[in-house]
Order: sequence, then C-alpha cells, then structure tokens
Amino acid sequence: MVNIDAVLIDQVVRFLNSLYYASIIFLLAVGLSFVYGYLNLLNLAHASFLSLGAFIGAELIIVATQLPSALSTIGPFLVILLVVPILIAVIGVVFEYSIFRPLYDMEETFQLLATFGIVLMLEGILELIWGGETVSGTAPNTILGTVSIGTRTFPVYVLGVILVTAGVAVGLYYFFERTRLGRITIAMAEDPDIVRTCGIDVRSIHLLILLLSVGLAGLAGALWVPNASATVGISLNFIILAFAVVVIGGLGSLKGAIVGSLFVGFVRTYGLIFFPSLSLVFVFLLMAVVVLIKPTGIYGGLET
Amino acid sequence: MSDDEQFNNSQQNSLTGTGISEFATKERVHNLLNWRVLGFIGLVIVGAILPYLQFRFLTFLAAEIFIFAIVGLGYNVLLGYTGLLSFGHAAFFGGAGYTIGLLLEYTQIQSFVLLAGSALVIVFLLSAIMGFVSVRHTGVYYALLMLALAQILYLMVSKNYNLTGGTDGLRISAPTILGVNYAEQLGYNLYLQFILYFIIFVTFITVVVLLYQFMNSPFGLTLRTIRENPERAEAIGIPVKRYRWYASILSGVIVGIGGLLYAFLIGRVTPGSTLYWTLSGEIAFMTILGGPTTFFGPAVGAGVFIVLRTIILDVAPEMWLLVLGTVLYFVVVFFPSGIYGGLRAVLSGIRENGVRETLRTVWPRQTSDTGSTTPTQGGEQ
Repeated sequence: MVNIDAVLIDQVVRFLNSLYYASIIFLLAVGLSFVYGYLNLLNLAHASFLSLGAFIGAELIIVATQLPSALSTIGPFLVILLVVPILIAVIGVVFEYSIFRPLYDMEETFQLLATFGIVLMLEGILELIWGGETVSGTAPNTILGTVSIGTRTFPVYVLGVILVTAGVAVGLYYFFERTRLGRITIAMAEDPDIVRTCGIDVRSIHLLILLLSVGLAGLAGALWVPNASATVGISLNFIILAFAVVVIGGLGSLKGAIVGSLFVGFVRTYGLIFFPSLSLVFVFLLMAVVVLIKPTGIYGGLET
Repeated sequence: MSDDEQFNNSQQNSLTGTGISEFATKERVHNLLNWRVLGFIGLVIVGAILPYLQFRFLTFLAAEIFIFAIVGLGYNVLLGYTGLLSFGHAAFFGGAGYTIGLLLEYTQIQSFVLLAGSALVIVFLLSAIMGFVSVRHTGVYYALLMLALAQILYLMVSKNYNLTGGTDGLRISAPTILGVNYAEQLGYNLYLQFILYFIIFVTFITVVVLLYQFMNSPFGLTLRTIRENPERAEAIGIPVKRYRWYASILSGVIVGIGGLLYAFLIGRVTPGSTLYWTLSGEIAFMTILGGPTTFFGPAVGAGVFIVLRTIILDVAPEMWLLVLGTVLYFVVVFFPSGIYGGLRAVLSGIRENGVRETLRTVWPRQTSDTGSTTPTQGGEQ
C-alpha cells in the first residue's frame, strides 16, 4: 500500500511540474501568437522580453526583500505580478514606436530576419549590462514555503504560478469572448479596413495587443526567475519552444496556445522518464508533422 | 533592382543568341573583362600569395572567410535564386562536421578524401530528406519546418553525451592527405598555412566557378523563374516543387562543404557553434549583408562578416552581439539588396542617370510610392 501511495504522489508532483512549465511557456507563446494574429508580425524577438523580465525581475526581487518589515514579504510578489509586467510592457511600446513599426508591411520571411537582428541586439544589451553573470531572486519561494503532498513537500510558489496563469488564461478568454473591445480585436484581425471604417481606432487596439503580449512575456520571465536563474541566452531556447507551441496550436489562436503549451509541458516532464535524452525531440517532431499536415495548426484560423 | 535586370539580360543574351551573332560575342568579351571578373582574378592572386607572407593569423582569417563565402554562396541558391528562407542550414554545416568527428572517433579512417566524401554523402542524404519534407511549403512555413528539423538534429547530437560528447563536442584531428599526415611531418603551422589553407582556397575557387556556371545554366534560370512567379512557372510546365527540392539539395551540399572544411580548420565540432539555430540565422545574415540578389554578394557578405567579427571580438568583445543585431536589422529594413547589390546599383546607376537620381532609386523610402523595398524574395502568396 505504501508503495502505491508513493507512486501516486510521484505522479501528482510530476503532473504539477508539467503544469508549471506549461504555464511559463503559455504566457510566452500566447503573446507571440497574438502579435502574429493581430499585428501581422512574426516576432522572433518575443522571448527576449521574457529574458528582460527575468533579469529585471531578479534584480527587483533582491531590492524588494531589503525593504522594511511587511513590505519585504509582499514586495517580491508586487514586483513579479505588477512592476515587471508594466515595465516590460512600456519597454515593448518603446520598441513598437522605434523598431517594430517598419516591419509590419514586410514579408514574413523578412520579418523573421529583421527580428532575428533584434534578438541579437537585445542579447547584446543583456550581455553588456549583466555580462556572464547569473542573477536569481529566490525570495518568493522561501517566503511561501512548501506544502506537503503525502510524504513529499512541494513549493507553494509553483502552485501559485499555475493559478496565476490559469487566471490569465480565463481573463484572456473572457476578454475576447465577452467584452466589446475583445470582439473588436477579433474583427480587426479579420478585416482591419472594415473596422477602421466603423470609426474605431485600429492603431490603439494594435498598441493594446502589443502591450498585453509583451507584458505577459515579462510576467513569464518574472514568474520563472525565482525557480531558476536569469542568464544571457535563455531567450534563444525559449523562443524556439514558443514557436513550436504556437505552430502546433495554430498561429493567432488562444485555444491553440493553451493546448500547445500543455503538450510541451507534459512532453518535457514525461519524456524525461522514457527518453531522458530526447524528450524535446518529440516537440519538434510534432511541430514538423503539424506544419506538414495542417500548417494553420490544430486550432487554425483566427477564432479564439 | 537594376543590377538584377542587367544580370538577367546579359544571361539571356548569351542564352538566346545560340546562333553565332556578333552582338553575343561582343557581349561575351565585355562580360569577361568586366570588373567582376577582374576582381575575382585579383582575389585569386591575393589568395594564392597570402600564405607566403607568413602571417599565420591572416592566413587563418582568409581561410575562414573562404569557408563562409562557400557557405553563403550555397545558402543563396535557396534564398536569392529560389526565394526560400531557411532557418535550418546549420544542420548541413554541423552535419558535415559531425560526420567527420564521429568517423575519426569511432573508426580508423584518417584519409581526408574518405572523410570529406562520407561527410558529403551524409549531408546529401540529410538535405535530400529535409528538403523533400520542407518544400511542401514556402515562405514562413518552409522556414519553420527547416527550423524544426534542424533543431531535432541539434537536440539528438547535444543530448547524446556518450556518443557525441554532448555540448563539449568532438575533436577533429588533422587528416592524412593522399596517405601523408602533413601535420606530423611539417608541424601544425606549416600544415595549416600551406596544406589546409590551399585545400580550402582551391575548393572555394572551384565552388565559385562551377556554381556560377550552374546558376547561369537553364537550371539556374528555371529557379529564378520559380522565384519570380511560381504559378506561371507551373503553368509553363516546370515541376516547381521538384526544382525547389533540387535547389535545397544543392544548397545543403555546398553548405556542407563549408561545414566540413570548417571542422578541419577549427579542429573541433560542438553543437553550439555548428548546429544551433542561431548559426542558421548568421548564415542568412551574411547572405543578406552581401546581397542575395547577386551571385557574388553572399561571398562579399561573408568576408565583411568575418572581418567585422574578428575586429570587434578583438577590440570590444562584449559589443559583438549588439553590433551584429543592429547591423542585421538595418540591412534587412533599409538595404535589403545588401552591400554588393547596393554598390552595383549605385555604380551602374551613376553611369546611366547621375548621382542624384541614383540615390533616389537606391533608397526608395525617399520616394515612398515604390511600396515595399524588399527584393523579390519568395514569389509565393
């Protein structure tokens, strides 16, 4: 009996870890998907905002823990959930006004090349500021402590990340399905000219989507950093995974991003058991198969 | 795009003028003596003299430039001539290197010819398979397919530590050439400067000459037709997909030649430097930097790229990525015809229209009504 319990507990822990990884990937991929679906920009540099969020988040968490008494326990969470996303979103808008804008009308393949340039640029900036250093802010983990699952302990923080991401997903669904602005956004992806003719400011909706997407990437970075550390080069791995998620799920689709990131999260964790060296190969294999069979992804088209 | 037209016209003249017309022969002679050919002859002479100057560093740098010039020329068979952007060519570059690394590690084979030959066979198979799968799509889906397939290879190599040495990679020892191990007999320096360098140099010349002929043969013209208008090409009976497949095989094999020479030059293959997707991006960058609408552009781009990298890594290594990214962004957005393409447009423009008019055509953003400045990449919708 004890053995069966142990197996079950292992499964629960593994399941939660998969969800945790899927959460981070989802927050990144959903923005990538929106920027493509609504702004027509295939942005290789999207994960660089995750990098930026991770670095800034780690530094600010360290600052926040040195604040006086009560603030030092709430501070790190404010940093992760509010300060970093807003800061990164503002940086994203600056980028939009300066270097993303000339790219909207270009061919997609050229967008890939130009944004690859932006990836290198941002990596270069991170390297200039932080060099080869790794920065980590583990405070949120220690503040929240652990919860026991049977015989094992599990960090509460990870559960928190999963809940926050679920909240974001529900919020996005509500936004697109139930609010006027969300419906307008979907209409805009279908036909911006008609929407503009209806007297709606398409440009500000563009900005809103970009703000949201980049902010979520920043949030992903900040949520990720307490359990790992920020180093130069993480965005290069993340962006490829995010592309896999988005291609598998369907470019521009919210449902697709959810399904795709869950797939990546579970393959990564469970693949490690059976094929320790090749778990992520399945992700790219599926990506190739999906592109071949249904290039618009599992939930192709633009309905959310 | 005037340079490209000129490029095409001269080719059409020599193609359509199959009857011996005086015009065609004059055109031929003119073509032979133009600055492009003179420049190439100059390069051959400089390249041949270089190692005798006894600057080991300079020879090494030149060898690296020749290798990436080969890679750029090969990559451009797809990007410039066929209009397909690939984010997976690192697979061919690293695939060739790893074939050699694995053979040296696990077999007794030491001969350069055998090693290089088997690397090319593997790369041929690899590019045939990856190309066969990927040409089902064009545009961004082609790029993403190549990326996914190349990433699979990268993961398989970097995660199988026992077989491939993981992220540390494999050592490539100096091969025997026609039965002689020159590195042992002459010492490594002399081997590098005189044997390996000349192998790389001669390969470069051969690739340039053969590929130039090949891309101006009916095969190359067919690729250009496909790039310009795939529907029309299909309609006049060209099997578009099959030609795209041929092009990706040719491109992959030439990039593989570069990859195997690079492995011998550096003496080590690692997944990070030869198989990771950022290398595919850098190859695309060299090609764009030099000019994908011209034949020689990518070679020029590779040269500028390597020299720039060497200088920056020496002076301020922490600035390298920032400079690289910024240059790439500005080249793609503002000068998509690259250094060589832009230079050619300016030179021929000044000859015909004068300075002011030329500046306007080279930088169409100033006239704005010409629409997109992107060259005619990927004719797909």
